[in-house]
Amino acid sequence: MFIDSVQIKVASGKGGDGMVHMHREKYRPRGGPDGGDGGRGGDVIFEVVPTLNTLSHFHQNENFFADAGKNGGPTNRSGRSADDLIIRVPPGTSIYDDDKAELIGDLVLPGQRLVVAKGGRGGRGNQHFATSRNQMPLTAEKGEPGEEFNLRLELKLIADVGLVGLPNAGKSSILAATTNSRPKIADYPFTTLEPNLGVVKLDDDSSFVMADIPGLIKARQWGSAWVSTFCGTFSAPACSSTCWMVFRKTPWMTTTPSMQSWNSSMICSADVRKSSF
Amino acid sequence: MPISAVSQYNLRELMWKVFTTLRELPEEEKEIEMPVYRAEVDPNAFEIEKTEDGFVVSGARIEKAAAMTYFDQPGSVRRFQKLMAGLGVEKALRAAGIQEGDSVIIADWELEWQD
Repeated sequence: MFIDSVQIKVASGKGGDGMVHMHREKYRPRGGPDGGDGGRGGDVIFEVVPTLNTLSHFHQNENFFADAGKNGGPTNRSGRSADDLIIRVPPGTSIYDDDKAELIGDLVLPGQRLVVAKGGRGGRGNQHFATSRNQMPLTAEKGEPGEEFNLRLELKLIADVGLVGLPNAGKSSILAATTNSRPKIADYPFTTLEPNLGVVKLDDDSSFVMADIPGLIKARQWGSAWVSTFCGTFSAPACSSTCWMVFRKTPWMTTTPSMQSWNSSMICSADVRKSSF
Repeated sequence: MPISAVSQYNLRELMWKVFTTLRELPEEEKEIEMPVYRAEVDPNAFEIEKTEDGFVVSGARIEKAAAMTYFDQPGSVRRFQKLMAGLGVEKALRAAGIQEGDSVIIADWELEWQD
């Protein structure tokens, strides 16, 4: 299943609580404070994993809460810090704060990381509150609360060239013939239901990414919904212009109303069509 | 240009043509949405609102401090009161006309005012 927009909730971990505790040992009266500190809460981190290509693993899986730090213990024992929660996303994912409707960041490069929510620091135990005048402090801190965000993830596929045409026109065949991609090809319309990507390698320096898109049919049917959906999908921030390879039999006029809303890259494609096909 | 995906006829030429076209495409001037960095709100700022239940105090620093306080430890409570005085919450509550026995609500915590 191809999913390119999801809403998730993330929360970083709370810090562990510090402890109020006095040292106890045989023959050692008034041992002093020895309450340990709490551990750090886990961060929520997004990481780009190049092998992923959809957001479908977020389907019905929308809460991501990092663990809290462990509480401090007696004899100055600090609590264990929680591990960071790493959320894996495909390259080309934009992360938005859903409440403020603001972009938090674009994740494009493989291995790129973005810390979205910082974990809370651990509270200090009463060992830290001892002073010369207060040698038995009944004071400690609880852990700092974590941060919570409602996020919207949007996946933008990064393609230089898009294949547009009627169903069953041979778009997937071209992709299969020119790239290492192996899309499903069959002799019936709408074989392709989700976009496939492939790299066309011409020589060592020349390559581009080509995308195969489900077939388009007349506007105002459900085909128009396809058009607008994939328009959004392919306006990648990393590629400044997308060229569209249009098949000759594409009902250009019928799809025009919805295509007029396409951005300027569409206009270049008209030239491609005129010049080469 | 006639092509065939099955026999690979002319495909390479076509791809070169697409590549050169792609190179000639004008750099699209797109408004790239950038992350918005805002001036940080002063964490020490707070607001006091008088409601039926009591005085509701809200503010980043004071709410965090309340969440980090052991209200069952006398030393921690004293520390919290010191912080409240330092932030000016105490003064502001008095100015808002707080009486002994009124409750002060900070996020999830409800405290009773004592002079």
